Amino acid sequence: MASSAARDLLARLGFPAALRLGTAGEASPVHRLELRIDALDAALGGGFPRGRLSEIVGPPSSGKTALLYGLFATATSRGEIVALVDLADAFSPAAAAAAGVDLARTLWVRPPSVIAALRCTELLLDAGGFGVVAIDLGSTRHRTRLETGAWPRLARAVERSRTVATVLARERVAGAASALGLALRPLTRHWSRCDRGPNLFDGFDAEVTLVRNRLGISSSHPAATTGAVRISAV
Amino acid sequence: MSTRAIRIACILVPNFPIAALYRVEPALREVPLALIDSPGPRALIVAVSEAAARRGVRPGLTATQGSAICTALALRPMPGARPHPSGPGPHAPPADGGADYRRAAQAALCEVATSCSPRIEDPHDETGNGYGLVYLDARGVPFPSEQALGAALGARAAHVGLEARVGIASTKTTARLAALTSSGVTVVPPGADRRFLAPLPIGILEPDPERAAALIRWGIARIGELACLSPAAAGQRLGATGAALVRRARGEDDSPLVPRPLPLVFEEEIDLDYGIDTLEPLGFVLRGCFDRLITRLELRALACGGLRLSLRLTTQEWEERTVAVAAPTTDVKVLLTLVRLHLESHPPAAPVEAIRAAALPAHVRAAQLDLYRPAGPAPERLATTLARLSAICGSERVGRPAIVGSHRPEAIALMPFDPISPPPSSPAAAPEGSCRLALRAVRPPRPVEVFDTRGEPDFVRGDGFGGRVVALAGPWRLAGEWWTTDGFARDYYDVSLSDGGVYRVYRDRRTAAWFVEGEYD
Repeated sequence: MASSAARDLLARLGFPAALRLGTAGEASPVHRLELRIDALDAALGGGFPRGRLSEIVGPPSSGKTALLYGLFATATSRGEIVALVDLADAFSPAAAAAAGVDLARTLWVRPPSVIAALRCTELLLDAGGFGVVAIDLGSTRHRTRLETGAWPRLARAVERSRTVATVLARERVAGAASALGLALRPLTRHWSRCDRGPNLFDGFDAEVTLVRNRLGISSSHPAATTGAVRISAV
Repeated sequence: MSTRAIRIACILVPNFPIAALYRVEPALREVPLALIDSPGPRALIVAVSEAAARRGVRPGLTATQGSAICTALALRPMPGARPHPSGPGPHAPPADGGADYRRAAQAALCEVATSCSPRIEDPHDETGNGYGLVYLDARGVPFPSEQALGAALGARAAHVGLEARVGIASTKTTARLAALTSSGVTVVPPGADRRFLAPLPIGILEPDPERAAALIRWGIARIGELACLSPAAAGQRLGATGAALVRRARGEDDSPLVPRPLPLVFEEEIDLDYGIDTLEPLGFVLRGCFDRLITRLELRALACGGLRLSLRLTTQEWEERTVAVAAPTTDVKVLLTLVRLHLESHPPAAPVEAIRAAALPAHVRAAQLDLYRPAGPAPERLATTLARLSAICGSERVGRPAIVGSHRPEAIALMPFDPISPPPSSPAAAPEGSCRLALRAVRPPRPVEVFDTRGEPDFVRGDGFGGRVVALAGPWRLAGEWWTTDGFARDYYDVSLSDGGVYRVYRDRRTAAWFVEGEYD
């Protein structure tokens, strides 16, 4: 009785209700793009998920941009093409190249507004074939303007692709639309002093916390701290 | 389909001036239409549509007479017949005044032929003779039969907005007459040219009046009867023209097919009934132009790599516009968006009354898949996406980042994005196990307020950040381009502030002002 009712419901609602109701136990495997940081990759179940929206958030100087460039470097070293929708206009080609990003395989888009940034991201996801598409919202707060269904729409666009889609922001903005949320927090700053010269800024340690996880990664608590990452100048 | 015998296909568009106008203004198909030789009530009708002919309008009547016979008659000037008040304008000014839509239609017809065979002959000349007619070599083309070739030519002509007839025979004359005398596709088998021509009236060979009268006096009414005469004997009585007439009647061509490469020129033009001063109706007109351009480009397996617009204003001046396209595209919507954005930012000085749009042809590059690398975006799809991104952000804000050979830290460059054949690069090896420190650029560097103690920053206050300096590194000096007026000399510091952020700031040694250049993240 229950199964026939479910079948009727599926017939009436069609996709995607059919997908969710009928195949709960047969979820397709999530492909991943590793970051080559063993501890973090292990905590994420193999790396950043493809076909899902993820978020990297944190205050200034917490290492989120370094993490993104690391992701770009991994993808471009595999021959993949990456795209950055840079609302903040903060991309530094020199820093990215130093981090190992192949700039020849990097598409840099600088949209004039948040709405344009989302539209550009959707276009890139619809084009297909990109290894990573990142949207850098910078430091401004956009949450109130974007709560009107923009993020779920973006998440659906990601699901149709094999792209790692990630949002870089001060705080979480995508809400339930994101499958993975990483929050970074700066720990120790490292400075070194030359004998008779000035100090040098060597980098810092950052604490990475898994604040959202809809991927079935085994974790004792959804807010489990995954560990520290070293962000170094050399 | 392959044969060694000469086979020629002829594409013919009957009543070409009317057909060419229909291509530009499809709505005119619904009304009786006549073309006049000049503006004004005493203008003479020079061509009429089928609907107008059915109502009794015929060439030679004045426009007033035509309108009296058929009150719904639409009148349009015949291209090339109207002097234009403006002098020679910029970029290919119209020699004949108004837009000559026949030129674009003829080019479209040639592109239809080129899409089936590389050897085509466009017989039209500067005076307008030969419009609506294209010959092509029908040998060795990739179609199963000549009938299939003819059907394809007809279908492609319809695709570009022209209703064409196709004749295929062993000579140009027979192919043209086959197309002229029957609708659709007519194939004259090899060796059957004379038999096909025999029952046709001699008037179809268009003899001059003197020779036509002589032939009638001799009782010759059909081409077959004319073909029985000896060319030499006919030449003695009717001159060289008469001999040529007999040879044509026998299915012999005076000149062979002379194929010429088709120039890569894609232009469409249109005259408007009145000046348009708002973007929306202008976009509607442009859409038609772009549709026709893209259809022609697609026939040559090309895409639009840029647009050149010539707008004739009501002040009789021409304005030239060049609209860049980030990547070759065949998406009309993208082109319209780019042009709309361009016109919004640079509106014309007066209402627009004529448009000439030229597409710069470009190849969409094919991608070579790699066995060991993941497939990237499909080239055409990527090109369209890039064009759309450019339409949203501006073409100067979409591309591949590049490092400039300059010591100025904020110097960047944006190059066209071409991931299909990326330039050789040797990126630094990505460090494993840790992340490389990244600097988020503040572009352009923003002024900050700095309180210093003995020259070293002690407190920094900027837009959205600020605090006491808890640790710092530096200074290190950077100077360059001193030989220019825009040189720089800076003292750099990395400062960790009490708000938690680490920033790169510098003091401009020329002005003693402080700026923030980036944030470590």
